Amino acid sequence: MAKYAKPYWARMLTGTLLVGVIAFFAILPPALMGATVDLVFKQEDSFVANAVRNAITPFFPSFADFTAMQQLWVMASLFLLVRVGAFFTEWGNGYLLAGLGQRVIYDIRMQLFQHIHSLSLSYFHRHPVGRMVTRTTNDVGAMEEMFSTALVMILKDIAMLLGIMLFILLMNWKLGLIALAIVPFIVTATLIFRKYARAAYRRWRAALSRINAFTAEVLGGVRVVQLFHKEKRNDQAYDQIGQEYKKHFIDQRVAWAIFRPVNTTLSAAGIALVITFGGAAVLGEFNFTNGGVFSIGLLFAFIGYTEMFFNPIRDLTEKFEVVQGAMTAAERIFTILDEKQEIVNLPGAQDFGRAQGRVEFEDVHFEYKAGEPVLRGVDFTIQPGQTVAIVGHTGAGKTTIINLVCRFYDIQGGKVKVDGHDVREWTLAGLRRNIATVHQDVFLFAGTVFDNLRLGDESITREQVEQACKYVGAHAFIEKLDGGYDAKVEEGGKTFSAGERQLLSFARALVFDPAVLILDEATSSIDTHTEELIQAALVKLTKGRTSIVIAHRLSTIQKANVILVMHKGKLAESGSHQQLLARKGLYHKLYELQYQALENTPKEPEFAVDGEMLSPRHSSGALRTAAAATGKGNTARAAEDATHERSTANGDGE
Amino acid sequence: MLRNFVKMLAYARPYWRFYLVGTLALVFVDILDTFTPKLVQWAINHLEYQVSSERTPADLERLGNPLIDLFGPGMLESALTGVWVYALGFVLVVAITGIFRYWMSLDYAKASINLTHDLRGRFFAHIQRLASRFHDRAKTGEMMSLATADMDAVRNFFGFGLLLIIDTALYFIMVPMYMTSISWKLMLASAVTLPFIPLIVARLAHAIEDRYGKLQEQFSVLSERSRESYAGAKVVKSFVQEDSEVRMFAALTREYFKRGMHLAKVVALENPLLVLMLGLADLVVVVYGGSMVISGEITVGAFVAFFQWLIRLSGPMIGLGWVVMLYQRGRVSMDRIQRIMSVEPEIVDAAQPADVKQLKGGIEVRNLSFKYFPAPSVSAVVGDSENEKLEEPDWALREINLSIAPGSTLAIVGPVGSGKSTLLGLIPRLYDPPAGTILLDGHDVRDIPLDVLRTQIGAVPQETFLFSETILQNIALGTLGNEHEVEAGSERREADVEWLKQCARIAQVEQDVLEFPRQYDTLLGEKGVNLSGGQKQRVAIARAIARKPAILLLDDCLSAVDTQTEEAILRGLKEVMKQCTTIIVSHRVSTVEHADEIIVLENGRVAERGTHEELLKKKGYYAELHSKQQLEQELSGQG
Repeated sequence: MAKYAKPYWARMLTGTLLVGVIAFFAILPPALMGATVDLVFKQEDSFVANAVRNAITPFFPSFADFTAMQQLWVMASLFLLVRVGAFFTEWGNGYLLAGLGQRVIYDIRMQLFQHIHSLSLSYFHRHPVGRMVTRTTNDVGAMEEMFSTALVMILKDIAMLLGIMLFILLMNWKLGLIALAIVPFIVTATLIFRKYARAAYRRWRAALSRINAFTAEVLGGVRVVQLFHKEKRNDQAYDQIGQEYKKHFIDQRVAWAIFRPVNTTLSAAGIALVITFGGAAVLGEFNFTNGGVFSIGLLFAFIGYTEMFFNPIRDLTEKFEVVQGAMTAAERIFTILDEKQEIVNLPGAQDFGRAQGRVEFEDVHFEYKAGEPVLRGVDFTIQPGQTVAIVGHTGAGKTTIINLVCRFYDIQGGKVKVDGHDVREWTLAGLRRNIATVHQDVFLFAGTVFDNLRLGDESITREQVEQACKYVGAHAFIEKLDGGYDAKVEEGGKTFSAGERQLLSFARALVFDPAVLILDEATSSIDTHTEELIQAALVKLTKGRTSIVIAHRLSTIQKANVILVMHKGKLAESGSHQQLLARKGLYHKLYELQYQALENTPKEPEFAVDGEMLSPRHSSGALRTAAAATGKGNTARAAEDATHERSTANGDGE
Repeated sequence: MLRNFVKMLAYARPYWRFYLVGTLALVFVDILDTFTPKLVQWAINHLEYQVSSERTPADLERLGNPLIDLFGPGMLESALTGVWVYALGFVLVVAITGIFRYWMSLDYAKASINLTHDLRGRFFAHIQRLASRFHDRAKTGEMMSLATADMDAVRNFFGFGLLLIIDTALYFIMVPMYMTSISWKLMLASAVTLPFIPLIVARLAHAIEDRYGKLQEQFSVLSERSRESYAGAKVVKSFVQEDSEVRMFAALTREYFKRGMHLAKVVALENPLLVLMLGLADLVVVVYGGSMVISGEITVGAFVAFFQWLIRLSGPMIGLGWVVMLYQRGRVSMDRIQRIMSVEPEIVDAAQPADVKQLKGGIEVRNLSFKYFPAPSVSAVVGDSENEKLEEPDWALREINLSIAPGSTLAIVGPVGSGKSTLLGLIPRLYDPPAGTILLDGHDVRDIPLDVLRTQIGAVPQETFLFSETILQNIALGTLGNEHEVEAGSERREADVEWLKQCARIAQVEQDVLEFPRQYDTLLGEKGVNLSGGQKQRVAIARAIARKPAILLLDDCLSAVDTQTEEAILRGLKEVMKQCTTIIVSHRVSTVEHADEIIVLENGRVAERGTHEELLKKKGYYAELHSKQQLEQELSGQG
């Protein structure tokens, strides 16, 4: 933790030294008061009187000859000096150290944020977002409290304790020891209290969070509460939880209500000891003198210090908890900072610049968790400009394929290549800049529409964004928003319909003009008008770039150049719509099914268009290869052949 | 101001016993505490008298204190026999003060916690009965802040705040009296700087609160922004925006830094400034009081004691600065809470409810048009924001006419936002339909007693909400009897529990439940098991049918379960659905195809209606949906 304070060592050192000065100023007044009594009122040669006289004489050589009133003014000036000095040093130091704390916290918070974003996607899947947020905010905050206030207070308290002890022992070590006799009792009482109070406090906080959780739950599920007329039972439940809360609240107050009187009584006992023995010493009944007369002024100073002693002890135990909290927080933060970045640029990684868009999988094996393979030898090649639809049931490995193209994960076997280079030969930024992803649930950030479309990239202009929106058909509804492109997007983009969110994410992808577009098609039902917009946008979006689509809609599947049918981590079947039909396999069966369905609704507009679009474009060569593949064991091989064939067939399509 | 204060005090009335005991204790504490300097004064005077060589009778008279009268003049002869009396007296007084202090603080604490407990209870009872349209606009955060931060502000005023007011008042009466007994001139002189203290405290406290609030705001921004940034990690990575995210976050963190420093400026000033002000008061006493000692006007003991009294005034002086703030905050918070309490629950029993005990399940919808009139937001209600403009909303439902015979099933399909859930929400009066538009068994829903209406309806809302209780308790929710009785090992009749389990079987969730170690007693929620979306939906279905409803409302409640399970659930539900009237909303044709009637809602209007076969022939939205889904289902399910 110290390493974070290191850049600010000068500040740190100044602060620590100043704390010494502050503590000195803070403990001077009782001695000065005692000196005033002895010097001015009593003309006694007590320790404090001598010390102050010796300090003053260089400035006022004739101090001893001053009238009592003049001496009083000198003493008053000394008081003023100490008070004003204490004021400025403490103020300045408080500000100085707060600045140190804030700077350290800035550094830690930024480092943490940066580090979290450099971690691989798997980290984000393993850890709940809420926990990462707590680390970045609350835990860093706990350290902030330590650096900006607790540290100063602790140093000051320790300095004061030492200072007071030194003072009273110097003044009169015998009475000093008597006065210090109460310290063990105060410390013991404080420790016992702390233990009990902390436990009571925790029970109280726990009861409080139960109330809060209960209230939040009822508020969150208020419709269910009303539908199932749970109100009365909730009232009873609240009363129960509330009674418990009440009990714990009073419990922790009891701790305080006992502690404070006990401590003041102990402190009073200390003062009583000082008065009794000090009084005896003043009268000369005890020989307490060590180097001077034991005077009323000295006794007065002693009483002052005995009263003063108890505050730093109490404060220290309190601050100790802040430090403990900060240490726990620091530990949690460092656990994240120690987290290894799994997906990093390998030595010699290059940015190959703008890609053409060829994507190849060569015998790719992959598992998220050891022993649970997700991809088991997948081979295919996607030529630049092709649109590929991936179909298959949940868990077949569709999403994994697109994750691997972006190198969100590293594979266990085989090769994933973009433009002929292994994705690991690319720099991460270089690779990902060539790819744009449209996810199924579109993630919108709080901010303006414009911000959401260009993300943080300030090189993207308003014109580019508007152009993209016009192109995909999002412009119309954005214009209608209050504020247009500057309209605020609420967290999660709740104000937009599912369809609108899709269009926005299309525009976002287009703004970045990727060589490879990855699209995880939304399954949610969308009104007919927006659905048409989306289908039209999709055609434009995929034009001239490699597109990989996890397809749910028939029309999208039919428009694809290649359909990859995934099953249990393997490529079960692949080819174009026509090829797969010719293969008389599964796809053919599905087609028949659809044909029957279409007899009921012959006016399926999408199909007619698609049929036209698809038929002339694919050579029979690829079809033959795909059809030749028999049995599942051969599908990978067949798919490779098929894609190879297609690449020749579609060579002119680019 | 005074009238408001009296109004606030009225809330404390029911707890007067606590306040009476607490205040009595407080009076004793203050009397004893202000007395202790007197003991110090006596002790020092005593010493001085003994030390001085010439003891005049005048000195003795000035020394005179009741203790000497009590113990006799022998007390003046030896130090130990004399001084220890004061010392012991000092300890005793402090100890007895402590005992009263205990009662004082506890009784005030009890008064304030009981007050807030009752207030929170009423607040809580009130808000859970407020209409849905209120909750639609109420953010959970805002309501939670009322139930926590505002409640705390109220508690602080009625506990610490009231105590401080009385305490401060007593000190201001008693301490000057002691001071005057030494010298009224010195008392006046020392009082010169003191009034600045509460002013400074009030100002600083205000500034600190203000700046701290701004810092907290930025903290929330950091929190929200980092949450988003982490949640959107995939997008950030995909578009290589890590650097820009870091830049953005750095800007926010810098702002936090700035606000932190802004706050530090006043915080760093607070303590030193107070110490300085108190020190200046000391200074007056040193110079003026000192000169009085020199001239022999007062004794050294009196001088010392005067300081002690001065110190005792510093606490109340600082307290006075707090009192104003505690009062203001308490009053504002109480006002906010009361404003929420005065929001009408709206959806309540009719003045003359129909005499209905049991529903048969006939539903008639007559020319129903409905729009959501937004309720004022919470911040408008509590007065945080100016009068807000509430826009006239569009129609959510237009001219709907339906007639559903008891025991039959109506299915609703249609795009998102077409009014399906709205229609379902009107039947159990989550929202009030216009009078005479929805009739159950011939009675206007608004005339049916609410508890009868809602007990007879089993609803599965679109967004599944389960409570952090056991699975069995969740299923038992709202069935006859108390769901708390179904805790593990309870004596609730086995037949009842058996029925609940049967409901779980019908909803196809029993298999899942039995896989948990604690089975039906598995605790849900944060401290328990988190169910998957599909499992939650199935528990919600079990919950709805467990109450043997006359009307079953299923709002897209199978969206998260796979087709096979869906079929199984529908098979199981078939028996249940024979016993009651069912309205089922779905996006899946397979879910709705067997309904007695199917309607297609589009933009709040009925666009198509008929049976499955009839609608297929119409070749409209429904037919299109049907053909699309058939293939898609095959595609994603094949392999």
